[in-house]
Amino acid sequence: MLRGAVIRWGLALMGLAILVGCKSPDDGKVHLRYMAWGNVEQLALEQQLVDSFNRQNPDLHVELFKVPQSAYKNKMILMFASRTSPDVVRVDHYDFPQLAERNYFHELDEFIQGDLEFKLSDFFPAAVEECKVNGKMQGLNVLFGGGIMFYNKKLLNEAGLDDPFELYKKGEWTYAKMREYAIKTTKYDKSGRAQQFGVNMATMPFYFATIQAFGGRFLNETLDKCLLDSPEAIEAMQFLSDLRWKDKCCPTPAQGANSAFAFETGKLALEFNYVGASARYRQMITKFEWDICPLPDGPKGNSLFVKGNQLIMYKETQHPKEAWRLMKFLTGPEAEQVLYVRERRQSPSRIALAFSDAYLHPKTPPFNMESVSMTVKEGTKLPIGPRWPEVMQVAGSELDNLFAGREKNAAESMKSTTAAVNKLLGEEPGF
Amino acid sequence: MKKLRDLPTYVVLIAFSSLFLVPFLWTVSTALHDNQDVFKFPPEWIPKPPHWENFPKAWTALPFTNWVLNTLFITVITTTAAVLTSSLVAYGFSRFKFKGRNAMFYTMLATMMLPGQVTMIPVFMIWRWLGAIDTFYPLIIPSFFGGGAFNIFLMRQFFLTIPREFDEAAMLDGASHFKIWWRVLLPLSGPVLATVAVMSFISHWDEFNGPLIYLNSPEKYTVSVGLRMFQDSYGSDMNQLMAASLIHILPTIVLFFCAQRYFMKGINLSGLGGR
Amino acid sequence: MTKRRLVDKPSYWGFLFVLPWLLGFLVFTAGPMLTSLYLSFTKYDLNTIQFVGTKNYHRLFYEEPLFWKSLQVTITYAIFSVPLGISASLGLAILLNQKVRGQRVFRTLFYLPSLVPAVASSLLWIWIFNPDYGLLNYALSLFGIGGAEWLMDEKYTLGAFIVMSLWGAGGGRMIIFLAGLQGISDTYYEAARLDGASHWQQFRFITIPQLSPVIFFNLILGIIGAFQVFTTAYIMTGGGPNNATLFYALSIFRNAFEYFKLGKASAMAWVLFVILLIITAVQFWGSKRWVYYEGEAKS
Repeated sequence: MLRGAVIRWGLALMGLAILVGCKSPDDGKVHLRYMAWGNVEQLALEQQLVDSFNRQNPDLHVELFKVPQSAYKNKMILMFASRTSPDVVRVDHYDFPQLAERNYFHELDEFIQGDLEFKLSDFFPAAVEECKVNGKMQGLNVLFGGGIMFYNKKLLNEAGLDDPFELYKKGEWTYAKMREYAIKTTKYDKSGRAQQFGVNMATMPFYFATIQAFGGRFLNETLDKCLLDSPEAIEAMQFLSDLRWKDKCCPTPAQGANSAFAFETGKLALEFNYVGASARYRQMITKFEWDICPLPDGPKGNSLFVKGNQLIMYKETQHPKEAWRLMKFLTGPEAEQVLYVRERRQSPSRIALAFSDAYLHPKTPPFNMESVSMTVKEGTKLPIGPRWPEVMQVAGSELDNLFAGREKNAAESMKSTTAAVNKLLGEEPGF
Repeated sequence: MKKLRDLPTYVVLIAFSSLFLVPFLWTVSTALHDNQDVFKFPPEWIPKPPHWENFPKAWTALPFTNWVLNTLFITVITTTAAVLTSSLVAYGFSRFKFKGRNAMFYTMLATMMLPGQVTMIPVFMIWRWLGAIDTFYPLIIPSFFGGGAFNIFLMRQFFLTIPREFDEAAMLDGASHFKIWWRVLLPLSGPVLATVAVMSFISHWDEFNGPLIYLNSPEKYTVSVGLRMFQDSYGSDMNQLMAASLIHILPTIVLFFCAQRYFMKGINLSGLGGR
Repeated sequence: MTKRRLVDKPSYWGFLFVLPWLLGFLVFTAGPMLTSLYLSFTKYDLNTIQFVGTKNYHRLFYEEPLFWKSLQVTITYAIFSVPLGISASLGLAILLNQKVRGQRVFRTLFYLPSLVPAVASSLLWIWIFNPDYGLLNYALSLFGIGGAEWLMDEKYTLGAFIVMSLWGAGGGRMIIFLAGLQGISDTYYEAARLDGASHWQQFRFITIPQLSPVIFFNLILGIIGAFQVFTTAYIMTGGGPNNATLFYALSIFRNAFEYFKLGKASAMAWVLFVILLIITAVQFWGSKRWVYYEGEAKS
């Protein structure tokens, strides 16, 4: 009886082995693996592009690994560390310098120089700069973009306020103006419960933009010293903190939790965000008109900044030439047309396309696409280095005290943040 | 008379049930909302109109039917293996004396005390060396080796409460050790076997990390990986996430409801005498 | 004497039955554990490995306030959540073991919370704890009690996590108790009732001793589990506010997979290992006084 059971189980196991055993397809093609994160719609787009590439390149077959964003870094790290990485991987720029420092990426200069169709001068300089590690290209920029501002036209009209993009063109779109707009569009009911808010809190990295506009900086040029305790940075952070705790025109963490005053609900007049959010807004917003404008100017300059993502080639890929063809396609005209002109996931990284008629004059909102093109053209690069995740954990935890209102004096908060970040940067890396 | 005596029990049962049910109902309610109205205040429990279409919409947004079959395949095999092998190992630990038994038992407990995050890379390397990346093997095979320390320890605790007179009686009848395990201990352990089966089923059904790191091809994914795709940095599709989650847990609710027949079959002393 | 020779004789049979576990341990567990022990004496940045002796441990103990903070958070959580959780689960199990109609439905309802996937239930709790329109403050306000900013005020966050853990009291732990209750023969209770024992006396002198192996199991596993809480903290608070929910496992995860400090993370894991080993050893030692096994192999 039992022996019978054992034999049955043995057979079942063997059957299982045959069933799940991976047979590598032998179709004479070179097989490439490409990994990207995304939500349902984004991954569907990536799949479209991959399918199109496979059709155009009969000698290659690309398989797309679709990974949920929340667990992407975890999986990516494991693959790099175990030397099983896909040939081409999309890497968030926040992680790019950290991973590049570990020698996981293939240098691309040989491919770029050997490829007459591919010219670095076609791209925004900041988009190229982000991909460089010690002067060498180790990635190509995708989903390149910059911080902008969304505005709810209906709420601004109701408050009798001028269009912010028009103000921007006249050079009058400033933080002082933004504060005035935010205060005028905030409403509380009789019981004191908030009905609508003027502006969302500038989360990372948007507060760096504000600091920049006030004349301050987060880190020095060599990324080894924190400069948040400068009077300019303190002024900027006090300004942001006051929007929430003094002017009360920005939802507190409690009020803003669970997306209660998310832009798409129609209860937020101005929003710091990326143009990538517009795909979601086009789908969800039916009850009001909206558009975009650049981030406001401050007393000491603009607050334009850029932040992209990189496509990288795995250093130990078996098929570097084929991988390069895929990378070129995914950053090429067809992909940029789909991703940026049609879907406006972010900005093109090619200058000509970002200023093309098709991109600047779309038929669906947002219409002021020039805001994006201007931002990526003029925006500065964020001070992201190999220790960025650690730095931001320390800084974020300190700055949270200011944003959450536990400490309302920005000078105090910046002093402790600067001390904490400098202590971290002064420590020996890796421990 | 009896009914009256049961009344306080019912009151307490219903009170606790509602406590546990309210958050669950919110999940259902969220799944029926339009995404823009998920966080209305005061909360609108039954949205007008209820968006029933969220369920088919969420389910077809991704190839969930394919993923459910994968999940089911993995879960059924691992659960069966875990129940059988953990009871076998626990039998060894609880009924025999042999050299190194205690050392092995405590070592087994100790394996639970090291957080998995620091062994993740070496374990991954072993599977890579075995050529099993992007297959179901890393998710299934470990269950055949005792089904995990948790289950073995649990089974052992239960086996230790079963009087040894039963084994001895069977042994005097000439039964082999295998037979005692199969014919004496397992039939006496209905509730704990059902417990291990249900807990093991649910943990594999919801398992996220293993499928995330070992599976690459989308057609091999499991449901829990797919559920996370409803979230991204620009905001989550809460209603669809909840709708898909509810469909996902439905089989486990049914399973749990049905498995209770076995929970309640304890030691039946009088029935055993006749064996 | 005959009996003992039959059953307790040392034999290779026991070894044979344990063999599946032993093989699995040797193939899949022992190597990775030893590797991580070795890594704890190195600086491993996921690319190069460099032996550094006890430097990781030294830095943890003497130069890392966050290490002590996360240890404190985790121990506080364990001290409250484990006893509360075990008592609650036991109470619910006894309640669900009453012989009244409809128990199958009630058991399913009690178990529901443990079935909801962590992604969904975390979002659910964020909503429940929301100070402005969350369910908890709303319910408190009905009784005229002012609420709190549960997840945003460092005074309350850990408490919120403990409350949340109790929501799972109807989960696996309760099922295990329920299974244990099935093993207690009715004859004990009948005899006790004939002797005029009260409900409390029956509970104290029959249920508790008979259930002691299961209570012991839940205690050991409860502590191990409480020291490894990760997902909820990762999704809900990310360790904040002000590191009030910086659970130990979250800290290990960050060091390993966000900062790429595998050496330091391994050292932290082995410190936890030793702590849990000591706690468990003490419990096993103490268990001789209160855990009662009917079928133990007596030596």
